[in-house]
Amino acid sequence: MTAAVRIDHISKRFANHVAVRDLSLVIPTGTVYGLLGPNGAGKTTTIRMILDVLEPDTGTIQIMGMPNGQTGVVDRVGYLPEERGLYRRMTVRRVLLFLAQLKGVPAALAARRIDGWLERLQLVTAERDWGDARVEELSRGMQQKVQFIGALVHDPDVMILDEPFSALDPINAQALKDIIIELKRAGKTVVFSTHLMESAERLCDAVCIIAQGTKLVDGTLADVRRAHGVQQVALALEGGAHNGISRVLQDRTLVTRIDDSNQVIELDLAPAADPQRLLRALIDAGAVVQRFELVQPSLHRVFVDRVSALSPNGDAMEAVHA
Amino acid sequence: MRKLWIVAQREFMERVRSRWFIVSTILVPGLLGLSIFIPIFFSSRAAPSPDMARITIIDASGSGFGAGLAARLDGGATGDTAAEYVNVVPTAIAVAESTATRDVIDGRRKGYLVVGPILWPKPDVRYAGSNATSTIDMSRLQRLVHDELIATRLRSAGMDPRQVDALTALDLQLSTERLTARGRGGSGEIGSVVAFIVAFLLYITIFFYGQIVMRGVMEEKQTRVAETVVSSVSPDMLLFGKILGIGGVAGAQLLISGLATVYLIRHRAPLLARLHVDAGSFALPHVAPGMAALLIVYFILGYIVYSSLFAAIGSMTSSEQDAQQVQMPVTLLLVITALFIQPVSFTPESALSEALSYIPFSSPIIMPLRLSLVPIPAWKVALSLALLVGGCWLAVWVAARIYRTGLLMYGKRPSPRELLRWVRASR
Repeated sequence: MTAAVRIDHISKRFANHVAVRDLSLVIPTGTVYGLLGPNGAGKTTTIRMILDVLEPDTGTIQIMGMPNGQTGVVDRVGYLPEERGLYRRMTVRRVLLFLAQLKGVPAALAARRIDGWLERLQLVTAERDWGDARVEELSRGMQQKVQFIGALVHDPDVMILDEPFSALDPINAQALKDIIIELKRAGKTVVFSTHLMESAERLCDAVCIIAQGTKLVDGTLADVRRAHGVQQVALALEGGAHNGISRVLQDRTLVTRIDDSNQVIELDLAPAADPQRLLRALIDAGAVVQRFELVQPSLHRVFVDRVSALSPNGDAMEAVHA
Repeated sequence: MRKLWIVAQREFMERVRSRWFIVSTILVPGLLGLSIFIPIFFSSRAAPSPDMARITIIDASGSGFGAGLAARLDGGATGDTAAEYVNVVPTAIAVAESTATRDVIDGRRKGYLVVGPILWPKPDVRYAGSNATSTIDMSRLQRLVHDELIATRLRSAGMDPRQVDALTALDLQLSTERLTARGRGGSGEIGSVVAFIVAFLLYITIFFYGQIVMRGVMEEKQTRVAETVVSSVSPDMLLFGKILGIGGVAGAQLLISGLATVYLIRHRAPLLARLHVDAGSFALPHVAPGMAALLIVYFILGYIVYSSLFAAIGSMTSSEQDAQQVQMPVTLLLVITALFIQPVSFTPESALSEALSYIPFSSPIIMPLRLSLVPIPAWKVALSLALLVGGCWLAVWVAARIYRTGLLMYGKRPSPRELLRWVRASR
């Protein structure tokens, strides 16, 4: 099967810095794909290059097997930019019709689809038809819904969402999540960028982590976790970790890192350590074990490790928590 | 090309539908109409003061001039017999004048005219009065004084007074007609005033619609809708579509305004009659079809040059204040051109006028002005147009390159050096 998006060694340099450095990616058709990275990692630049808004200095990009600069190719892509905005004085229907027509949808078909979406997202209700209101009369939440419709109305094969969950209220975030899942079920490809690992972990089939314009790791969620090479144990003890137990946990041949979150202690096992030996040592030390579970590292953990390794001064951490 | 059309259509429809369009389309011909009606109205209302003959003539010439002028004033102007004259010796002028001054101040007389002792070669005549600032009174008085001076001179030369009256009774209406090298149907029959108005209208409309293009670009950038749109259509097409669509609005608006103005002028007689004003002999200038076509071509090309530059400015700024500053150079180009309208209309064949008709920034305004004033060889028009088309292409090319970078660039506005890099760079 051809990839939905194939990026081959693209680079983009701006006046003062390199935004994207020799980036290659394959986004398989029918997946939900997360483009993860701290702020300023080059996510938006990459997305703009995929959409042919920016031209890479080197490298090529293919969408559904065709160069993205070819006529009509970007018409098969839907885009929700990070900075959202619409023509404020146009009515909702006219804005949506305009966006649909730009993507090549005939007016009559577009009008039907627009009505369907407006109803589905409750912009047309028994009391009020917001479709005939000017955009500026709508609340922010309603404007965001209109923006989703604008990105979807031409029934794209590939949907690209730049930081879709930032600045969304919980109800719209849920609506967007439902739409993403529905698109995936219909065989569409959804690519979204985010720096929120929780939403990526819940939604994505595959991810790519980039920082400073460079790819750090990519692949399916499971691959990325496995490739991280750290085995973790989630541990819960009745009465907490007293002295004897602490001694066990500080044994560097068993445990390399402890993250005590009060209810759960997350441990990184030493590379060659046997989890059974750790469990035995804990019980010997008098621990009352409530939970002892071998877990894959969270995406958050992978992200923080990878990105901090790149910039040891802690910028990445700040970016993640920003 | 289909997308270009969709963008242009949106620009056109949204603007034509807006309240702004309706208001300005009615307002512009309305104001133009008023600016034609009001002067006609007031000029026809402006008649000499009914009592302008109520003056004292202090005549020290000893030639009977005062009596003659009084007769002219009484009989001619208003029919009343209010003018009086005193014959004085030159040394008594001062006394007579102070009496007359008091009469004027107390309102008994309108003014007084002093005629010195010498009528030849340079007569010494002056007037003081409460209506001294009324041009219509003064020009009438001047004509009567002039006529009477000639009559007095002829009488003193020994001519029969009756013969003098017959010979000096002259009512002149100079009818004027303009001839060019190509005869009357040549390069244009537009009077110089109309040529001036046309040049000024070109300046105003190019400026006005250029500004609208700039605001449109700024709106797209500031509301961030630009990013959504350029993911579907190339920035070049978005820019051209905008210029095309707003150009269409300009065309529609000018057509409506033009037709309404022509209609008003053609059918002004009944309207003016209601205001009890004579319609006058003001006729619509005859514009040859070729001339009209040239005017339209110059307007379109001028609009493209300036609107693309204004679009580039809109795309490189993120705020209103920024735009105000950055648009200065482009605005100056237009304003300086407008400042040349008057000198060029006085000396349309000077080297400066000719040079200005070849520079793409000034030729859209200066060349139509000259074309309607003097015949210009076809090859010079062709050269001017060729240079303008070249300038147009260059302006659009530079603007498109600034636009596609600037549209998605926020924050600090670019320095001239950065701009140069934008122009050179790819997307």
